[in-house]
Amino acid sequence: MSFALLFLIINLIFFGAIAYYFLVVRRQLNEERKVELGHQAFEEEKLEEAELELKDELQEVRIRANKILAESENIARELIVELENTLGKKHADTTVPLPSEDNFEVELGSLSNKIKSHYVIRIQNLLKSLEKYELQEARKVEAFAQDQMESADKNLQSMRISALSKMHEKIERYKEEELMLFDKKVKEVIDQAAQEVLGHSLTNQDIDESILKALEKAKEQHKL
Amino acid sequence: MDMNTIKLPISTVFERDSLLTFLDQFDQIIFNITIDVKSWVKENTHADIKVAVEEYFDENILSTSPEELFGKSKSLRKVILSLDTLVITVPVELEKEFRLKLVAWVTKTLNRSIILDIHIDPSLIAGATIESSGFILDHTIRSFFEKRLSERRHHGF
Repeated sequence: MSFALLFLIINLIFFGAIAYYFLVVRRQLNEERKVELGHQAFEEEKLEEAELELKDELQEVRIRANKILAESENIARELIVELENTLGKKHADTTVPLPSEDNFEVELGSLSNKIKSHYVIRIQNLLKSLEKYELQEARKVEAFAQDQMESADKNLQSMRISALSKMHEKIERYKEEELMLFDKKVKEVIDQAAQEVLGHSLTNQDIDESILKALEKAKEQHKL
Repeated sequence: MDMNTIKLPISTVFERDSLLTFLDQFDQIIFNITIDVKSWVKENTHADIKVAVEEYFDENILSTSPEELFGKSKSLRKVILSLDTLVITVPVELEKEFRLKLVAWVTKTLNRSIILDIHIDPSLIAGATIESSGFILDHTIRSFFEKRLSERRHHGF
């Protein structure tokens, strides 16, 4: 009798332990899983933010490049206005509106054809190379986003976060170095165009007068 | 003749150097009694400095003692070396006619002799840079252009 009672007690303890396991340990496991899902959602959110940021960066690059182009055209026009004022040749209409983004062919009076060949076409080529770069980077971002959606592997996800960060750095470098180079190239193009186009348009008399004007200016400033 | 107030008929660095070279040689031959100074001067004076030489070493050169000629040469050298130099950089090589016009303008405007040191830099496009006594004036299309670009960059270009 006492043996049967003891057996019953042992059974009760055993089943109690099993019940405890299912109630407490499984609950803990569920909680851990919830935390893990939350972490994954947070990382996904971070990735989305980074992707948007990259797109903004590219857009910024594009805006800055367009600004450089627009300003360089203003400069080219001002250069000619200044020159014509200096030489007293104000016959060209310089009040033309700014060119649209897709059309860089600016009418610059009698010098327009030369400007078109020496300046506009080369600027357009520079813009094309910039667009090509922008397109490549945009495709990379898109491919990355696609991969991210297809993969649930946590390790792979962290590797991609690192890849995204590298891409970010690359765009940063592009903004600083490539845009500076682009800016320099634009300056060189205008410089060369101005030298070729304006230099050839000037007569010896124009050159002589501009030299005398420089001397007069130095005298006016009491520096001689 | 007061050497300090006289206006020298030389206007370029080349003429100045040519005149100084002439004076170096002149100082050496004036004490050589075997050399006819007047003939030597006639034979060794470069066309560009002829007027300047004739002005200082006139017809009476034969009756002037070597010591006086040496003193004159020394004074002239002093005047030459005290002349201000105006460095002008221009985009093209200047015609002789325009160079003379420049000299005339400078002499008349500044009312003194000045040496022009003319340099050529085609990248200036038009205008000139003027350098005198540490002052530099850049009045060229290139500088105008660079200034505009720099202004644009300054405003968030």
